[in-house]
Amino acid sequence: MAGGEGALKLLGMWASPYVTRAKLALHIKGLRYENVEEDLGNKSELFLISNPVHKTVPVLIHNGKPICESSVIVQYIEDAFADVGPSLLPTDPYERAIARFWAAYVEDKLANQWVRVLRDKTDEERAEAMRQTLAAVEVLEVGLKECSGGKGAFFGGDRVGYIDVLLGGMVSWVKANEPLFGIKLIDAAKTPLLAAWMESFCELDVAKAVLQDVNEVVEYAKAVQARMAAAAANN
Amino acid sequence: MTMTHPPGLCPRSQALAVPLIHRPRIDNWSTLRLLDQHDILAHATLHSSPIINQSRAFLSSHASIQSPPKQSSSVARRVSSWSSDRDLAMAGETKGELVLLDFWVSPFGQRCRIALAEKGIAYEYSEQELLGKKSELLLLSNPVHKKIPVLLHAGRPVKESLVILNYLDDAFLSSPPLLPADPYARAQARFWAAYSDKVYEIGTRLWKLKGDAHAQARKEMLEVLGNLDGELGEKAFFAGDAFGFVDVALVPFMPWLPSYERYGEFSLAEVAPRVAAWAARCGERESVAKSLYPAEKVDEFITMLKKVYGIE
Repeated sequence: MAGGEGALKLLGMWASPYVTRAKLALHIKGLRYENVEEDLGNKSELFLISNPVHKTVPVLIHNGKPICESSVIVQYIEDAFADVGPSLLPTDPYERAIARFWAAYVEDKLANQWVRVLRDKTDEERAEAMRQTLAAVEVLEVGLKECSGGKGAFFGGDRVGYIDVLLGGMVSWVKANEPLFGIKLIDAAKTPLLAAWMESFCELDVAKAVLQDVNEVVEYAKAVQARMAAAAANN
Repeated sequence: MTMTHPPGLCPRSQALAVPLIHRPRIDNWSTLRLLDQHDILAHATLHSSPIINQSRAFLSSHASIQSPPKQSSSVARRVSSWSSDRDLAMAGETKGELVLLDFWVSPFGQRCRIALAEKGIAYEYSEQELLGKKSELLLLSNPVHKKIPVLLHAGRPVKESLVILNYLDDAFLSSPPLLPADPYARAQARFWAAYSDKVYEIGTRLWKLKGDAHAQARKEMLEVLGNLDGELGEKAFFAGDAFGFVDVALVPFMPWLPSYERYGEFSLAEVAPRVAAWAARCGERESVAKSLYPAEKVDEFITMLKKVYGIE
């Protein structure tokens, strides 16, 4: 087996949904790894050497070699440990293309917009980002139907796959949206399939083992908001 | 990421790109398609605006652009030079089976054209109208984004340029692969191919924006080009000796660089000399030479878009 699971190290930060994606993939594959919590306010040398381009978590280090970007990491885990645990991507080329398309959608239209709800500076920008995120969730409902093909609650059908991991990493933050912003990101009334997906996902052992506590995420987000407000006030 | 029509042209059609919350609930895939068709008809009156006519005039004045990029004869030559096993394998993959919905100057479409040429796969090129009314085929094939490129394989659409590249490797196993075999090398290729998207995104901000936003874009462009230069290093291509995934992803942006250099007031040869040399090296490959347009044409296109957006 390529490399073996010896020397798998994950540089991360507990609150990050991107780090959670990597953890989910590792757990689903049954791989053991060393979890290293990075202090992003005081980055370690290993971290800076491993991801000089983006300087973001997660970074997966396998036999001393770093892999960056959560979606790249998940695909790497799939490739490097192809004979270990379940596959995250379908085998059929066309189905793989559908999965990759919707994975890109989750990233470009959902995650990237939603991050702006926290980070953008003006109320209008944040409100617009929220609108875009909610619109993306509605479209993703169609994607879930296409990917699952009626075989199960997950994007991967009756078991979790690539998109389930990418979206799954964000679940605690999805749940935190209502306490933070007063809006349900995944609302059973509007997107019933996604609501059922979230319920099924959270029932999984891997989710129970890996997902962050929602209240802790809410507190973390509030602290980030307070820091940003203080920084803005000082300008 | 794919290129879309300038949103300023058809402001309401921008709304179509995102199914808004106020729309009726989408219950199934075919309903989604019907909604898109209906909305396009409702917006038909927009398509006679003077701006669109101006863009059409630009396209029709460039006769060479109207005809699809030449790919058939060179592809046929390449396929015939292979072993008979490969020929047999490719026999099922006839030109009629593959259709690429594309737009002449789109670098994302060009990624696909280059990949298809490198892999010796025959296909039908279908130029799409983006600056006016989009074809029904495009809207049905890519209802979510309504963007090119879309690769139709036996009628089934594959969307997003990098997804298409991955698909070509997966579906055409008898053709030379774009991605390396080693998992770590594949991860590096995926990372840098995605990173190359930044060149276009930042470049667009360079010619669109002014003031602080422009300065920020310039700073980011220099950083991105510097990172790419560092990653390429002394290698001939990004993966080493062989032209591959990252090269295909990045090279279509090279004809845009002279425009970005002018708008950003920098020199590629100074900021990223190895990337500059690599671009020239790639330009010597038949697949690249036949798929890319000269920088002058790209610059004319940007100038036209600026007029359309009302940018000085």
